[in-house]
Amino acid sequence: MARLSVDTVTRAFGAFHALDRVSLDVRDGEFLAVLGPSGCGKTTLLRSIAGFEKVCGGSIAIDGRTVSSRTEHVPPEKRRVGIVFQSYALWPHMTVAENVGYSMRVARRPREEIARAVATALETVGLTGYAERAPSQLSGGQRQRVALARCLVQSPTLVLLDEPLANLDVHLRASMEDEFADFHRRTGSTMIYITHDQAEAMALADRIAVMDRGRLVQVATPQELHSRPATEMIAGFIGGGMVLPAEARAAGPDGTCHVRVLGLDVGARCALPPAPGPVKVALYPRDLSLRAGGEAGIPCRVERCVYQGGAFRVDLVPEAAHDLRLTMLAGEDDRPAAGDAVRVGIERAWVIPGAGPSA
Amino acid sequence: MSMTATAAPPAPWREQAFIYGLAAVIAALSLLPLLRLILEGLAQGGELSFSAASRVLSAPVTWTALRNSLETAIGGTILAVALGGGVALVVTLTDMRARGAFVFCFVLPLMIAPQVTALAWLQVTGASSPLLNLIGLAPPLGARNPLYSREGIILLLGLQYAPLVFLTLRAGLRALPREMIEAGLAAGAGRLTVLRTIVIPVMTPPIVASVALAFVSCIGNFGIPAFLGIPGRYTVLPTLIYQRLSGLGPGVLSEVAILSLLIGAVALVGIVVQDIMLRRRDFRVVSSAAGAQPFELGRWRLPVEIGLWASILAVLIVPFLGLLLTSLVPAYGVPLNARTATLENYAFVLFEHAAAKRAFLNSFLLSGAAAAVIAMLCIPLAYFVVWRRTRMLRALNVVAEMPYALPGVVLAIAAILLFLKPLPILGVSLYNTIWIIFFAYLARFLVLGLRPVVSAFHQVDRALEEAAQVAGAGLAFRLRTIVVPLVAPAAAAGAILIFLTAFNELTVSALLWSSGAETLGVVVFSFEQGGDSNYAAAVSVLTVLVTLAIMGLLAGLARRLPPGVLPWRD
Repeated sequence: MARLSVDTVTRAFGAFHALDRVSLDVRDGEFLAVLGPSGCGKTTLLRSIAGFEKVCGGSIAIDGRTVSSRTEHVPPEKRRVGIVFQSYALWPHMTVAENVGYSMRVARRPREEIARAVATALETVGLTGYAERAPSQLSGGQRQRVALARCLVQSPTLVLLDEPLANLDVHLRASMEDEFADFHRRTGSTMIYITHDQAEAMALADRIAVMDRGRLVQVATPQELHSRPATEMIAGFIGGGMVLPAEARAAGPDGTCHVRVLGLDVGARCALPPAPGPVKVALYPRDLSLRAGGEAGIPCRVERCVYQGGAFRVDLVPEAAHDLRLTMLAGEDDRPAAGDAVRVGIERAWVIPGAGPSA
Repeated sequence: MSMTATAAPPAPWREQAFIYGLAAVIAALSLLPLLRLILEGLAQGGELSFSAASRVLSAPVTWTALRNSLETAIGGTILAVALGGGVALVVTLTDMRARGAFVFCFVLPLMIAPQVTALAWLQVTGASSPLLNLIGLAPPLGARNPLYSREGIILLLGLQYAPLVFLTLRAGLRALPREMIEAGLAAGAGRLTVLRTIVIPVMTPPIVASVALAFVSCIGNFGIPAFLGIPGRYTVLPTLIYQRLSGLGPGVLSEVAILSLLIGAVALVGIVVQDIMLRRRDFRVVSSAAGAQPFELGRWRLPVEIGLWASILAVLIVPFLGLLLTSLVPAYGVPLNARTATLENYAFVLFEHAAAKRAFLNSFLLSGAAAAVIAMLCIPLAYFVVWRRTRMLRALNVVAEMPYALPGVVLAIAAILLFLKPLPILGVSLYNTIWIIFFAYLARFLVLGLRPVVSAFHQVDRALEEAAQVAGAGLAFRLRTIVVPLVAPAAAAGAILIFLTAFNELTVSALLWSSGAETLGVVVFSFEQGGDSNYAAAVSVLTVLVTLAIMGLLAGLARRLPPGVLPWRD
């Protein structure tokens, strides 16, 4: 188990900042996902922690020992960090057993000890009997398991996983997600999991760190990230969320406030009651509902109604703002038809902190 | 960029020492000889002076040789481009059959030494030609061989380098997206219109590059003008250098240095043009994109195929049959038939003639050792160049091209200048020993070994090394257990290419050999100059057999190699 602390780390390639003052603390045994679109700097962060990239500023410490800073750089082979690569990086000229036992061979352990550890690791990932195969004779999922076993034998205190499911097909992903969760429970090691897939991050992680253009924008539990996104980017990135312009009116009790969204008065949650004036709110399709004739609602025209297995997704254009799109869910019986005029109510909303019109 | 470089902590000292050591070796092989030669051009014998330069440049023979060099190089280039380019278009764009076998046969002459090609053609066309004698068409004894002329040199240069043009263009044509051709056809253009308005214009860079490559190869060729031009009193720059040096000795070193700088300057123009046109592309690496739908030849298919194979018969089979028959003739002028045919020439060169016996051993050892040493240098060098992007070695990687790209005589003269005096500190002289040839082979063929390894590194996922690093393995352990096994097939292919090329080499050793340090090329050349064509033919046949045998062995390795490493494999 290891504590990882990343302190205002900067990595620049010329004028481009791949990492811009990133700070992050990961607890012993925590499973942290780093989430972000491609090019956000998450791979550079992982490679800096592993020691493949040097940092230009700030420092990285593993278990209190500084491994990267402007003046210090512990090479990757001295960091005792395990990595599962996106491409698995299995050595094609070695058998499965040789791949898995490599780190012990490096450490000059006796042959019998290596054989025992390899057998245990292969049993753990369910590949007993595959020891003498070549990596090219395995399926994608089996290769992934060999990469895991190779990592396991090293008994690293910190494990880095670089988009490990990106090369697998959809139905294999679900079972490998279980495998990772298992791996984490069994070894108790600290894990950093890089991904661009928010569903994967939500399913696995204790906490998620979201990155955008080289910066860390929010570190939170999956539930918090979903219900209290810190920025517009996160609100739009997670769970098909919508971001709408609104007008803050007055503070309410217990972290709530009154806002006006497209002419409708709504009670919303907030971090700090915003000053009266323009704000942005985040909401999800299930936060919207159709209103009956007399009730207050946002007048909209139905643009499209798409069946999505069990429910319909309804795309709406507000009458007052033709450049906005709202999305809601509707059942088989109460769904409107394209072209209908409807009124829509907002059940829940979240005021994005500090996301005024200037942001 | 400099900001990040100064901010980053330094690499461990042991790795730094390794990099500097490697850089020193590469610089000694590539940079040092060229610098020494340039120094000689500016300051002969240590003084800044232009007296030797003005003497050489005011001699009419210099300008005659330069004119002859340009004439034969331009003529040979035109022939090579016409032949190689035409065949590349037909082979790549049409539905001819047995393409693989044809490509192998067409490219084969590239693996055979120019002097052997020259010898083979002389045997077919001369008065004593066993082939012409068999059909009663031989010119009368004593008649001058028509190949001893400018036209003869141009013809053989063209045939020798047509495969080089073919390979460059074929790689380019294969990388041509098929959609481009299909879009032209869909727009209603006929096949010839598509060829004229789409294929040829898009192919301009590889065409220009192949012209430049053929020109550089022709201008630096020594074997063909040596065999055809010296008897025909038609002197080109490389043969002029050879004749001055072998006739007058190292006293004229300053003058031949000027001559070799002259030929180097002419070649450099071609090298620069070629480099610009093929920048960032290894011409032997074939793109993986699907090739264009072949044009159907229809009823022309059989005639085209017959024409192509007839050309193989004419440029490959007939000359080498002539060579083989000559090697079986007991003595010059004796007609060959079942009763006179003999293997005594082979017995003589293999077991009796001291220099020939030595030459077999010398060439085997020189080529084998050069191949092994270069393969061992190239793996770490390519590793730092491709994966680690070490700046100093990347610069040297470019310089390492020069000793191979420039004509062989240039490197040979540079090596003499370097080693004429005993080495400083050690006090040992390499001049007039086999070691000067070994040095020149290392310098000249380094890039032949380097290119396949570099392309292998480009194709291997670097995460394979990073995974080993994460497992705790240091640089030396990673190189041994991960990197070397991954690129070993490419390094082996490079080593075999070096072996084949060095084994058949004449240009460098013709200027550097000494008694006891003969190579096979030198022995063939001396036999032919002394009128012993039969012995020359016997040695040549043996070298061709060795070459073919090694190419056959390589077929087994072919599947494990990145595409394009073996030039003759389609």
